[in-house]
Amino acid sequence: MKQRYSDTDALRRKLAVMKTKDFMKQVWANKMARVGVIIVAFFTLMAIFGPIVMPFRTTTMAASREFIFNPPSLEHLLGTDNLGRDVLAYLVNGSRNSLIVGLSATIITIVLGTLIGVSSGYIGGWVDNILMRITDFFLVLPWLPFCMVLAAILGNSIWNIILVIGLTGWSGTARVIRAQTLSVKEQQYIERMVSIGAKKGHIMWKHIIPNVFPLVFSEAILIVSSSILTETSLAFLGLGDPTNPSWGTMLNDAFDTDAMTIGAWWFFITPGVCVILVALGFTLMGYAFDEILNPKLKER
Amino acid sequence: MKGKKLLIVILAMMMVFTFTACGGGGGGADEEVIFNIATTNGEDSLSFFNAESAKVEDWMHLMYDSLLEFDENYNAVPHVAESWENEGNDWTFHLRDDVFFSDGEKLTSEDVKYTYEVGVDSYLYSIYTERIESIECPDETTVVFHCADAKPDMLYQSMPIIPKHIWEAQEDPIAWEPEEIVGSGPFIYDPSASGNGVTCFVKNPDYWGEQPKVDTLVFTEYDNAGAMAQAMKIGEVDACYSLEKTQYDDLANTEGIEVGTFDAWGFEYLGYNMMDELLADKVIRHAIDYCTDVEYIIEMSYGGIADVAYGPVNNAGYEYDPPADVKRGFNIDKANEILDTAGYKDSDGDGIREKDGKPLSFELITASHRSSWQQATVNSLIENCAKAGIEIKWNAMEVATMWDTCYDGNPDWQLNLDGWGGTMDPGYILQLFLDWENGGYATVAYSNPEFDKVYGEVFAATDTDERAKYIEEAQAILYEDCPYTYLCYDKTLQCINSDKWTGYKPYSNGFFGNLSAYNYTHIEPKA
Amino acid sequence: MGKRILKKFFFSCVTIVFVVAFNFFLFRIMPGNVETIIARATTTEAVKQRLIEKAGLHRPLLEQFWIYMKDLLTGDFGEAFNSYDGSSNVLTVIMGRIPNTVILLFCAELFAIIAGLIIGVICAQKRTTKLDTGLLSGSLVLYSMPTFWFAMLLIFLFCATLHIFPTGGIFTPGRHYYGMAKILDYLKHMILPMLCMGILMMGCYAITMRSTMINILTEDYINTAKAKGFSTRYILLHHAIPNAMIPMATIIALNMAAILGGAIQLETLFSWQGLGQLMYDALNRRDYPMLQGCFFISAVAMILANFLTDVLYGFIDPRIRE
Repeated sequence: MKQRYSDTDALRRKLAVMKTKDFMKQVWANKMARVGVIIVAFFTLMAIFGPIVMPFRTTTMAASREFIFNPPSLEHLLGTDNLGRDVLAYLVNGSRNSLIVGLSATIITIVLGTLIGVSSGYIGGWVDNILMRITDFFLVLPWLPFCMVLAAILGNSIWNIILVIGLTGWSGTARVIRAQTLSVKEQQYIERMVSIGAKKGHIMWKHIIPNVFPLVFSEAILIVSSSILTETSLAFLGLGDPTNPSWGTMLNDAFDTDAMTIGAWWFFITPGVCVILVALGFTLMGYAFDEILNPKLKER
Repeated sequence: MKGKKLLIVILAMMMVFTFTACGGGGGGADEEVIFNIATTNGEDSLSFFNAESAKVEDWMHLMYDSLLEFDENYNAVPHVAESWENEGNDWTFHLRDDVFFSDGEKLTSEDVKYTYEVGVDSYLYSIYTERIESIECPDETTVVFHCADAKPDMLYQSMPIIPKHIWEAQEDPIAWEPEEIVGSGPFIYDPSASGNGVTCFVKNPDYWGEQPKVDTLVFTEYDNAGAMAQAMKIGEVDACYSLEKTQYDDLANTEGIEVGTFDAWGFEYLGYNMMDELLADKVIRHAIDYCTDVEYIIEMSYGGIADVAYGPVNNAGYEYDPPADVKRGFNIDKANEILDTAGYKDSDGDGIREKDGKPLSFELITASHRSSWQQATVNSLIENCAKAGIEIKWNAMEVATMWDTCYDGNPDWQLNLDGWGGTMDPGYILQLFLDWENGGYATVAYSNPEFDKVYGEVFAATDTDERAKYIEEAQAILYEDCPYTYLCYDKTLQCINSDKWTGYKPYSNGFFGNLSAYNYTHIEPKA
Repeated sequence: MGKRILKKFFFSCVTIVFVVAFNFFLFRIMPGNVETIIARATTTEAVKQRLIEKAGLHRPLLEQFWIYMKDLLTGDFGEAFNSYDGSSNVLTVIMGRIPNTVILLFCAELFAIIAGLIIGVICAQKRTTKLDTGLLSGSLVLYSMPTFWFAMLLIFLFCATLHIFPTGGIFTPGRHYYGMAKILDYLKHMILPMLCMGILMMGCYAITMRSTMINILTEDYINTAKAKGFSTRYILLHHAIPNAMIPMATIIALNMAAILGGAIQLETLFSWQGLGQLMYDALNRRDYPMLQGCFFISAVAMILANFLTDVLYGFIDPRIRE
């Protein structure tokens, strides 16, 4: 499929128009994006300042069993957990690690996916063939069991979990980026540059990557939400880092201690709702950005 | 149009399912009495050699008979063996002559001999063959065991007797997974009704002993403990094999459900690697022991359902209670005091003591799949040890990695949380602490010749009181040496729907999984 | 056309070889020396030796790999360390579990596709109305939901509180149903996990369907058809929806991996004796031969699905043929 821009001017004009300020305006005008931005901003602020306002030590527990699984009260707005810790403080402090995992894993995913996608699409030939076979391979691996095995090999620290999510998630991105690279490559001005003898590396850095960037950006935002979801799944399967509280480890604690069965809904429901909200926020932003940045891509 | 029809069909089907889902379940004036037990998932090989879990051990008792049965306090009572006598190192058992396998063959002393001989290769039962040197069958109903010593644990035997004529005919009996199981027990495995997570047993109509009161026993696997408790509450199942402690209050307060807390042989511990330079010093081990608030740990980590432990043995009557002058309670001041005396001082003011430049900072390794439960234990250790100037860092590992790290003779680990299981014989678990290069496997590289000597006495003594004395002595040595800090004797929870069922009695180790088939054969529906 | 399929087939085979090699070496670097695992599970030396020999672990690594490849070709997946469903033969156990998983996932997938399609079409039709916003945000919320969390909520609501569905398992224990009654019993147990997975996937399909439909509905040929006086329903059924199925097929094929991941959580929570539950079980017991078998089977299933979609594309979308 060929890109519809008939000449380079149209594309350049479009990119010039897309100044940051205009972009922000467009985002704000889009209802979906606005909701997404508000949600994400809220949780980002919570992750940055929450732990300062509500200090939380995982090792500080209640004095006796009387204080565990207490329902919400004035003292503990969201009740207490299985060790008598304040659920709200846990939640606020967990947001930091959950977001760190989500964002860091996304960076790994996107860097890997973009590098592989762009080189595969731009260089072509046997490089393309090999890289795409590797991508295919990662695409067909049953990812959750694979994550479980990898996490088991590497150990349960939060950085290993980030690595695992990043290493397993890039294949889809690589495919999308490759397709976009192929279509950018076919544009006349790139072809003209090749014919006047511009270096491959130069074209790749200066022209291809900036052109696929909008796609990378919206893709990245969608991946944050799936990374956060993967982290909760891994933690639920017992592969979380218990010394770094996150919403995943919280859900795992709640599940393992049967919070739901014994009626401690505040411990089980709240981290779930937070995960949904953050994932939703990023997804909304991602879709909206996609619409704004890549209007033509949607047409296929 | 086709698509629309398909849609209508699917919607109609779904309505039918929902309807049947609501209406089904009840009704059916079955004559058959079914007792339904929920179990956790796990190993389910029914082979004599490969069976592994306590659950399957129970099933073996349904399908086969043992020489002995046990009462609630684990005293041996006659079963296939009508009587027995002990002379020096020889044990003679006299068998009943009316016991038949389900294929009509008679159970004879040859079957017993065969079972004990091949039992060496069995995962569950090899412990019962230890120190038996040879077996003799003077006649069909007499079997004589010649042992290497007095074998005081001979009456703590729970070995299912398998039919020699069936197993001997197999090319590779060890790898053989029987489908139709021939045994002499009160129940027969029903392969046609088993599968998909369900294991079914029907009663043996020709059983030589008392006939079971139920026709069918059904064991259903639940992977989700919460769902299992719900199934119990709404009456989908009649009993639960093991419950989570968090469910205790909820189920105990439900009308018509009897929840029992039972002993389990074995203990939970914090292990100190003796190969570690610092932990080789007993003072540090004692200091951490002083910082362990076991009562709080039991309360928070074990839901208050566990017993305080001072030694490895918790078979009724053999628990060790140290005399007041050596007993180490939870006492952080005392920990600080002994560390000060031994010269461990915080010289650089970072809150951590050190000696010769080595800080008292340790890594505690646990199995990650137990993190939710163990975090209270670990947290409490971290907080309390910090007050005594000892830093503890938590590393939750994959359980296999943990085993690969925390083994005897490896100097590269320091602290480890784990547990051990024992048997009916109170002396058995002491085996752990033998010299690690010579039969012991406590993982902490423990060795004390004095202990080895007392251990020898435990297995030479025939008199029960004398044996109890040696077991106590052995535990006293362990308490002083402190290779482990005992956290607790963990307990198990089981429950039965007492509204519908009667005739059972609680053994000290449970309604089920107690090395006896009594409850399975005696349970009956309430009139 | 034939050449394209042949090329795709060749690529699929290459991927399978990758999977086999990866599969073998991954489980050799898993933590927990296999011998330690076996030793923990058994007490006597004899039993330990037997298991090690059975698994061929005493041979050099490359020889093990060679044997593994040879065995795979002859359909021999080896023996598991533990036994499941009364057997320790990997292939037997996996084959026994496949029907349960396939039936569950197929029904869930069918439900999700149909429901997603309907919602997507409605949203696209009523674009920017309140109905559209409502359905779209609902779909997005479902899309962002952790599987196990949703499953627990459903169990709590439908099983524990309302008592409508059984709490887990495949058949009502102890009831010897035959024929139709047995099928109904099976379905009764399947509805909740099926709905759970179906509803979660539905969100994803609805979103995709909506955006494709919006694009298609603004295409020229649709406008032409409208101008010619065809009814909206006719246009939807005969032009728009068939065309929208192409991107849907891509998403469905790509979703396979995610579905399998979801199956692990769902099957474990609902005690549904399928492949996912088997994988979870095997991982917990460090049963490498069994895990290897499960990995291989699910990867091959995924490769097959991708290959079939690729081939189907050729038929659906003539543009790809060259």
